[in-house]
Amino acid sequence: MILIEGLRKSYGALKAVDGLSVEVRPGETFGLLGPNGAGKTTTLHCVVGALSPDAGRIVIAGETDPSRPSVRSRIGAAPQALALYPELSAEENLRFFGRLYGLGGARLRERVAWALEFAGLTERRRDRVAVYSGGMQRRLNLACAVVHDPAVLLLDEPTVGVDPQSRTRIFESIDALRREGRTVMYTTHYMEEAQRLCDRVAIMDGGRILALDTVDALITRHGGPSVIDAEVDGRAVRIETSSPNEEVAKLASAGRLGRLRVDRPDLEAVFLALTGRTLRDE
Amino acid sequence: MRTILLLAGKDLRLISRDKLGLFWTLGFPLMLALLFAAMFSGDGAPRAIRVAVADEDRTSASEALAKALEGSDALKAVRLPADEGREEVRRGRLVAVIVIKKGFGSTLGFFGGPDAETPIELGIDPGKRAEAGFLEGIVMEKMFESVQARFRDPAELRRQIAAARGQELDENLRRFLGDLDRFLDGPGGGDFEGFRPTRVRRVNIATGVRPASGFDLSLPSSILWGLIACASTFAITLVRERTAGTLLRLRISPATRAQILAGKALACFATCIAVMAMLLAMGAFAFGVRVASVGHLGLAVACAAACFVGIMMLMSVAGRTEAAVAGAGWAVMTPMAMIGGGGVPLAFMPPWMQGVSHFSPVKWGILAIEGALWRGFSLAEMAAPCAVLLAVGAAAFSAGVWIFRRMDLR
Repeated sequence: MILIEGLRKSYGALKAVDGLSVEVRPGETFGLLGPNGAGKTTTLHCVVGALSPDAGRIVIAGETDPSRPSVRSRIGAAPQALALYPELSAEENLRFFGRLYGLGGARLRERVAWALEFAGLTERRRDRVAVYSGGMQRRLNLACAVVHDPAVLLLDEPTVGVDPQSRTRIFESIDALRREGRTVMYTTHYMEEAQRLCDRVAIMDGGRILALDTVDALITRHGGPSVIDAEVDGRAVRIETSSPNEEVAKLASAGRLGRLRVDRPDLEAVFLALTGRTLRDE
Repeated sequence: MRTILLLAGKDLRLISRDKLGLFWTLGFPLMLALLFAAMFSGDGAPRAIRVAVADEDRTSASEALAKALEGSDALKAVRLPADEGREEVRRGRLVAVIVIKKGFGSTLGFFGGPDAETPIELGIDPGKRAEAGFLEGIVMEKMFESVQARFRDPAELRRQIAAARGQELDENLRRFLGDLDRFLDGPGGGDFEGFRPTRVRRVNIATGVRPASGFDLSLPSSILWGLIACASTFAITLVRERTAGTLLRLRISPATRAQILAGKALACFATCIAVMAMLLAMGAFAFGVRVASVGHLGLAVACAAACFVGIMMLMSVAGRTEAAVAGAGWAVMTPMAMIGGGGVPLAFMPPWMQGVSHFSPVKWGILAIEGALWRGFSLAEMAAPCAVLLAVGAAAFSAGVWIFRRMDLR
């Protein structure tokens, strides 16, 4: 659905994206995981045609020019900044962006109602966005990206600065979009989000992709062993293993299990292994 | 076109909900119009100068001059002793003190007489040098009116002749005075009504509706301030779209960059027209401003709006933040307005500044609107200011779009 080949983009001497190649399959939720400044947002802006790449090729749904209106009408994008008009209500924002994508009449009304429900803002639809909480604004930001029913979604850090409740709601919304079969490209620097939402994840740093695979495959390949910390017949045991389930079964049959703790590696460990830094350092 | 209208409609809705923006766009120019109208009321003439008049001579001639000064429209005179008058001037409460010195009356003999030194003293506030020349002119005018009154009175004329003939005079003058005295005594002397100096009649040169009030003069300046406020407001909304991220959302929508900018330009143009229409309507209904040519006014309004749409576009790329654009915009526009006659009318400016004013679109905007309101410009005469406005607008818009595009693609 989205093909990026040899993408390069520099700001003066700074290489923001340095030869990035990736393919996002139809119906897939694809994550770009990396610290701030890794080149995720620049990649997304190039994909959607808001930035001109210095080199490389981008193909979306078979079209090579993402700035063409016919291509853009099939894409929904939620920028990292809250790209809303605070003086307008949620309903007015949705109606405006819906019209901008060519919706009108009953279809527009239907989609605006759907988007308000999707964002959980039906009750507050006539309130000015300026008086919404950060979480409500973030949900509306996402709703404005999907109001025109796009096949491809580009979500740039959609949960930045929101409370846990709104974050959960946004996760549920994205899960719902996945189930509908939309193709989602998702950038984040929260490994939990990538782990929970994405079918495949590309780990980015310094404008390059360091690794790309499913979450499980990345962890298996780069995350290192799981660590089992247990107490068997009153004796403390610590085991590093790539097959924690089998090792736990062995320990259980070896004696009476007192305490048991299994630490499986996650994407944080993968990033640490690949870069020598943690995501949180950034 | 649908997309452009949609984008323009969104901007107009946003402007209508921004109360502070509305004030700067509509309320501020209105206040300026009223302020300037008050400043330039009285057909554009300067306001009466506050002076003290001290009569130390206490003769009929000095009393006549003092009364003439008190009766002058150009002065607001109060009678005070000389010292008190000087003190009031020193404190800045009065512009000048006119002291009619002792011996003034005796200097008014037409044909010689005792030479009193400086029969009139004009004490002026050093900070009001501009008024000094004007005041001297008024005093001289009133003095000559007194002299003229004496010339027109045959009895007074004969008294002066008799007084002069008792003195040492040039032989030719003595002969002339004798002839004049005989003429006044003769059969035609009774009908003599005195000498009549040439009269000066003032006419307004404009061929259309002449300015009826200060509002006629202040309204075009205020309209230009309104346009400046509009351009600033929309320039800031454009940069706000950039900083808030909505510009990115628009840029990744099916709307093209040209449509986005055209939408902004259309909204700015419509607001400029609305501001001008509102101010003109208020001028017409509340202050009696008359329009010499509605068609020419429409042309002037459209050209001025187009010019400031271009300026808005250029202002919007003067910085990357709202504060930078607002600061840079006003920093450029305020001097442009001042040299263009938006504050002090062009006629009151020194010649070099009047030359500089050609570079300000504000000057051409004011000229076009004045041309349509009361200068009675023909279509050919409207062409020059309108062409300048359109050219400035087109150049500024093109430059703004070029810079915007470069910023956008970075």
